[in-house]
Amino acid sequence: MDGVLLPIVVFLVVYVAITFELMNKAVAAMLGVMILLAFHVVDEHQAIGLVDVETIMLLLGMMSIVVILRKSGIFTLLSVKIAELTQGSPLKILILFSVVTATMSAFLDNVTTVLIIIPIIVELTAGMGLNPRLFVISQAIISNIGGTATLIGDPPNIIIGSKVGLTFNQFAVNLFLPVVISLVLALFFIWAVNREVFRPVNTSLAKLFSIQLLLEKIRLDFLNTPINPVLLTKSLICLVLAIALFITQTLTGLSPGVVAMLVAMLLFSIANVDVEQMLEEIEWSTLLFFIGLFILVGILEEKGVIEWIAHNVFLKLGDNPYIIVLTVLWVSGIASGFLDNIPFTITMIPIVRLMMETTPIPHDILWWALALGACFGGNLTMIGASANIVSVGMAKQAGVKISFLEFMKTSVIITFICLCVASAYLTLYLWLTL
Amino acid sequence: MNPNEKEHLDRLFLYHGTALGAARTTTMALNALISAFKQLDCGKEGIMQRYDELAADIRTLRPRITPLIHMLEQFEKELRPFLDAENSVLRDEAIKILSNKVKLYRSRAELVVRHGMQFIEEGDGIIVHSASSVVTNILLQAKQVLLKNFKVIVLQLDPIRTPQIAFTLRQEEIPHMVIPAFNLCHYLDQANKILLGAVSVTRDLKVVAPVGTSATLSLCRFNRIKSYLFANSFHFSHGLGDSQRIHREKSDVASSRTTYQLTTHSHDLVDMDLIDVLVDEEGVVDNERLWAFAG
Repeated sequence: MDGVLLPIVVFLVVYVAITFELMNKAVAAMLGVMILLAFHVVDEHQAIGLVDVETIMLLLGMMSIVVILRKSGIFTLLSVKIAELTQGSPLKILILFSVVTATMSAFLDNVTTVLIIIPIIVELTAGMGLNPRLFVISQAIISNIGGTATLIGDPPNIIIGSKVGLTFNQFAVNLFLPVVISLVLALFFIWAVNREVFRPVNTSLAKLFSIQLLLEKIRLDFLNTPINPVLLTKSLICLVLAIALFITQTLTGLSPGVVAMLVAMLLFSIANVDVEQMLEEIEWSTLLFFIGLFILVGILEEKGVIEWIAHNVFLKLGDNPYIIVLTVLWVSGIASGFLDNIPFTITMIPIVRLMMETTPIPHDILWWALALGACFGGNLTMIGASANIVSVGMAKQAGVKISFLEFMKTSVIITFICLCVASAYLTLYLWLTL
Repeated sequence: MNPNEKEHLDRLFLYHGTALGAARTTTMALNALISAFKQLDCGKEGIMQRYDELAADIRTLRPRITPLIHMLEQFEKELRPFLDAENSVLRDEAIKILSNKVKLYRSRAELVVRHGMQFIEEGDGIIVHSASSVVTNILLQAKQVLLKNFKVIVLQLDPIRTPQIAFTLRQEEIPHMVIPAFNLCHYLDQANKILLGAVSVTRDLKVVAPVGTSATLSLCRFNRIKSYLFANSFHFSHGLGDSQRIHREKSDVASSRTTYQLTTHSHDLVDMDLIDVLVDEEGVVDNERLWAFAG
């Protein structure tokens, strides 16, 4: 392991800067890369070769599709319709919005989902005299749980899917059950500890009356831009096409990254939108962040650091598959709560690969452990996932302040429940296959 | 309703009054009440007790929504014979009466529109301040039914109502321009009429109208631009101008040098002398009718 000190120091400094938000994530990662390039640790051609282009294509493609879909106004319309369906019942608000949040998060990115859901849920719950904090926290948590179900739902899954070569269907088949069970238990927990909040409102004429006025206000506030039916139709057709191509990946041989970019470019060409404006809305900083991290972790891998960690930490666990799987799950879950789960996943992939070489575990169970741990673990703290940070930030903009500890009061137990569900599921899965 | 809930109800009405105008707020509130009655889960005694509490809160809104208060008065009177009836009968009757009130209000508003469109003439330049649904419908009917050609100068008011009227005029291809109210002096030579709606007309002949109406009307009067106020008789209040509970809010404004307190009123109280023509569902309200109303 020659010349490893500088890459390790740079990587750790970048990690600290990202975790404590000392600077922009993308800048931190790219600055780290530039320092390593400046000190000739690698050259630029080697560096670019370390980037997982498949992941970047998938992210860019999905971001492009979502930008145009958002422009069509369909998500806002859907959220307003859900608000109407609740008729102000706190329990219906929790359940219906959670179902929508989870479903949207499974097929779109979590941040887009909470950007749409949080303003409406804050307006609705604050307007009804309910505590919006509980609903904001619950939707952030649910978006992370829902995003766990598919390959495109959460960045850790995108990274695992692309780098390991797992298909959309494999993710859906293997993760759907634990995600649904976790979702139901999370909702049950939220209801059980806040039963007073979820009392029906239909015994108060004044409340029922106010709710109707409030729903009308929400309609006026959020549906002030008319829906573009042509753009909406084209966008939905493209989204369905993308999902269909993800599902039929084994038949077509098209990787998710190619599918996402192909459909995104098709949509750009037929959508008749201001492409320049749409491109400005893509989260380029996130893509740069991914590129920087791939290079930083790739260098550590090339220098043998990852192999050293794997051998000296994880491979010391022995060869008991149950212990290996559960350790990966819980370590990922706890670490993802305090560290950003994107760099954590990128770091863990080569480690898990080495673990699988040493102790072969069938049916990619170790990858599902990493996916479930990294995604569910994002719920542990307010800084564990981008959706949490964005939700809390949006609530603050609307005058609803949520403290770190207040978030954790709900999130820690739900994360524990989710990781227990995942543990039981993976243990059963292993027991059935071994 | 606790003070917080009452405060919230006030804010909701203030929002809707500003965004939609008094007419649409009235029908919306009646429909909300219908929906609330349908969903309410309580015994017979509870129904009226809960209604009375809500009605008391609606009567003390800031500002008072006169047409809604009149509707509730009629509703209560018509519901009285059913107060001893079964729970389901009482509820069904309440819903039926309220539905009829919505129809009644709408039919009177339509009559005002029918009379109002007669005042639009070929080549008019019409200033619209805070377009109410009645004023908007008058403009549409004048264009669609009477095939009049006229131009509208929309004074920009709030982020919801101004885009609504601009969108409607654009769809109907009615020539129009949207300007800030404080720029009106530059366009006075292009206008010969101003059309208005109102929340209430009081017995001391004051008009509760959207904020800015008073200054705009003064400017119009000074420049001999004729003013028309369209309000069906449900908007005529038993009370006086100073009892209309116009919402007043104080807020701190921070500038680079100091922080000062800003006091704002939600509505204007306009002297009827600034109105040239008042039109209700029976047509122009002449002086005789006006004085009879004023008592």
